[in-house]
Amino acid sequence: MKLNKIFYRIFLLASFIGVNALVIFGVSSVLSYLNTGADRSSMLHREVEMEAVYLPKVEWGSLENPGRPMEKPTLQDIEKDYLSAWHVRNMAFMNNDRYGLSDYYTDSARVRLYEQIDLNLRQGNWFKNTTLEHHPELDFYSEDGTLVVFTDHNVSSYQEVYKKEELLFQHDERKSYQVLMLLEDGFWRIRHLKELPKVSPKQITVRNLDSLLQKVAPMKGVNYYPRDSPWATFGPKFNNSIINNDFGVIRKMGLNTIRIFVQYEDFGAASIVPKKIELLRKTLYLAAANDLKVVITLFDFYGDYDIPNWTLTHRHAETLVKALKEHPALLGWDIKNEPDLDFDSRGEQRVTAWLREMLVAVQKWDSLHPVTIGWSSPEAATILANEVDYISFHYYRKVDEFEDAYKLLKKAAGSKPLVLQEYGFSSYDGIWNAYLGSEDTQAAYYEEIQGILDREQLPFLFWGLHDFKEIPTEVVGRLPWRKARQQYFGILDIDGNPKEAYPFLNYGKKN
Amino acid sequence: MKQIYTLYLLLALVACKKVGEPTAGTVLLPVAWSNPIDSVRAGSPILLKFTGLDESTMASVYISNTFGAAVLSLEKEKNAWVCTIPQNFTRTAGPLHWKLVQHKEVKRFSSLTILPDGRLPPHVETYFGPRSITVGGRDYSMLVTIPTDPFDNRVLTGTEVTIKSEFQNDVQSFEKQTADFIAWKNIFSTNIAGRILVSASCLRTDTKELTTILFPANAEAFEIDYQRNHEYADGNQIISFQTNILKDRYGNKIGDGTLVTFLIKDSKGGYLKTTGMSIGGIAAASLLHPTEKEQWEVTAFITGAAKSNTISVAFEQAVVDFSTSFSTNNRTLVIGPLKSFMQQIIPDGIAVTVGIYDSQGVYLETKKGTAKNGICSFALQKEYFEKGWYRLEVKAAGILKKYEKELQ
Repeated sequence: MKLNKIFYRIFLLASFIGVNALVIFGVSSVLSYLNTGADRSSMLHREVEMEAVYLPKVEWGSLENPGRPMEKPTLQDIEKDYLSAWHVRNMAFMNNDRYGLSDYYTDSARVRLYEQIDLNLRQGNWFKNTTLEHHPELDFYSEDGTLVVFTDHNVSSYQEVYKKEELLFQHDERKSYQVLMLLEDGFWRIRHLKELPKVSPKQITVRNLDSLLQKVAPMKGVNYYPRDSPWATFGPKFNNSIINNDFGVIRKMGLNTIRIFVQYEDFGAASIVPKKIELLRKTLYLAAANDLKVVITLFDFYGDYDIPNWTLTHRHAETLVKALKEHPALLGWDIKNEPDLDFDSRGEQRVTAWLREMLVAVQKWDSLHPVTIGWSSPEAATILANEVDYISFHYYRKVDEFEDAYKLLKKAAGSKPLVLQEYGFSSYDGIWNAYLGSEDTQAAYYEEIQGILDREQLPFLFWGLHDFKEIPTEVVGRLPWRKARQQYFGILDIDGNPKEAYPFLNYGKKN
Repeated sequence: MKQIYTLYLLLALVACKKVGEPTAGTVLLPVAWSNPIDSVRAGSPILLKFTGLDESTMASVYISNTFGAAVLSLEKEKNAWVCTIPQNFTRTAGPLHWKLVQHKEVKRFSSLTILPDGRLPPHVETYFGPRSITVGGRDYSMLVTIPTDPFDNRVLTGTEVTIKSEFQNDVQSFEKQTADFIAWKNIFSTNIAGRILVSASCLRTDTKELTTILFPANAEAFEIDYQRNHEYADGNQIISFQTNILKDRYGNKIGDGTLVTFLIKDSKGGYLKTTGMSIGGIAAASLLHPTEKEQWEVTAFITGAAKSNTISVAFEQAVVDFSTSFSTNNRTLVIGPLKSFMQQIIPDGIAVTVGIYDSQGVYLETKKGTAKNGICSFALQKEYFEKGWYRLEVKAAGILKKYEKELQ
């Protein structure tokens, strides 16, 4: 009975405190809610910094016009709003949604787009569209600065046409447009848009293939990552002297080429971080100092080939290619490492289309260096074989099947040179492979395959120089047996001592 | 009578063979035209008709124009497949591209041109600016016209547009031809200020009237003058300065509200300033008469534009003399009565000062006051000025009088 009373009291006290706490919490919530509101800085209506989402190449031609002379800031505004007009239109036709159109098209012009969207909604059609190049030339700019007419020559665009979920077909086009824009409420809006019948033929950059391919034939080398920063060459651990030492080792082995990787996001995506280019340039200088040539693989860890991002990837590649194409150590460009592995998740057609456009673009930006794609298998390497300057393929299967696969590819490739861009064998010996691996088996692998490569005179880049302590999860996933295997592909062990396979790759001694 | 223009694009009976290479992309077979029409007027219905299609698989037609694209399905009609081009495509002038797609491949493609409909009067948009310019024949407003057909397509390049302008009963007319969507004309200013009206007409459509205002150019050098009731420096009357009619180089009165600054240099080298806005070409500004004899040099300016002549204005002494009376202990001074040029009591407000120095001639203080009813008095308090001899300098209307007095 007494105990009951105590419990009763405790309960009463506790509930009293609880109710009070709730009331105080409630009141304070109301008070803090009333104190919230717009950020004071928002009163100023400052311009919101927009992330670049649509960056096709724009090259203005002549600004001569019979009206008012064009001012540079106005031209920038016009260009920005014109590209936004394309972007919102692309988005509108992809989602069949009117969002944003009213900002960049005048009343009369947007009616046409609305009709278009309504029609496509009824029919269940949608389009993925992007433009890659614009070459506008000013026709007219009015005296009061509110009306502009220009001709956008040879707009190269790419489109995928869908009906419901099904891709009907895709095509690239080149069209010229004449555009009339009006300055309304601070926006340059498209009032008239007209396709012009005249399109000048596509300029084909002349590339001297012989001299390009001469660079490929003697290729003997390695896929390179520093020992302490695998898959992060240009990360925070970047160190000149370590890389220089490694390059010295590679050179001493009688090799002449390394393949390095540029990660898309790490380098700043569409707007490249200048510091990263500096690091890459330093690496190229070190390679040059050690008499090595460098194949740069672009777009590592990039997996989204979707059309709305094409202009961004193009700007990424253009900045890099144009910054480094003069470098004496550069051997060539590799657009993407093993893109065929993305076929399942992204669709073969989409990946191939992206590769094709990128390939053409890089070949245009740099006519002096060969461009390739690092396919993951000899079978995949026939894709875009006509477009690449030389064919690169990887091979991680059994050595005794190599020659057959290689010969098949060689036949399909015709006169296109081939490079075995990645191959190798892990010396991992542990629980995940039942202690079956060893440095001996790795050495035996290299002995056999180098024999074939020497006989066939096939240029090669083996994988890799070092064993690594750790493998980043992004590379092979989380599974420990995969990671463990990946750690021991090197021909130098974790301490930098040569493994048993080393002599078979030591061309310095061989010759 | 409603006319219907139907375009039949009949394609030859070429079997759609499946072509071997899977990676080869689009394979186009030769196309023969039975009725080759390659251009059609905007708004006319268009029907695409295909024969000889493999019926087992669905084919569709992709059409595109400047503004977008659509995918149309084909319908069976007797022994042909037809598709009707939607209205929003038939109404948009320019190239209309079509592609026949089957098995994810483009089997045929071609394009036809849709021409603007010139039968009905066009719409004409006009843009005119800047809406104010200055006279002189160098500045101009620009009239831009954008004629479009009833479907908002630009009219054919070279369409004639008449641009008219009116200024002071002088109507001028100019023939222009459209190019790059537009026909335009610069309307230059004349030498006379006023309003220019413009309008345009294209085919049978006339636009509304638009206006630009011709403002006068900058003022030229000008003359100033002054007016006052009398020449005496009584510190009470107002002198007013005014300009002659301010004009630009073409003789136009300058705009109302132009600020004119009158700068006055007095005989001691000090400067006074007064400003006035122009109304009807004349700007005026006022200033109070000085309180003592003065010689003013007056020049007026329109900042950055024009300057006037310099005039000089002399003021005569209004108060010739005054008396100062002291109380018995000399601690109260009464100055006045101050009398003006007709011996009248000077109007209230004239400044009187007393400078106080001690017996050694060391300056102590200046007391300031103004005359009321011609009189100004000062009291020198014991608390501040001990007994003794002082020098008192009384100054009014530019007259200085000195007294040596013993304050008790």
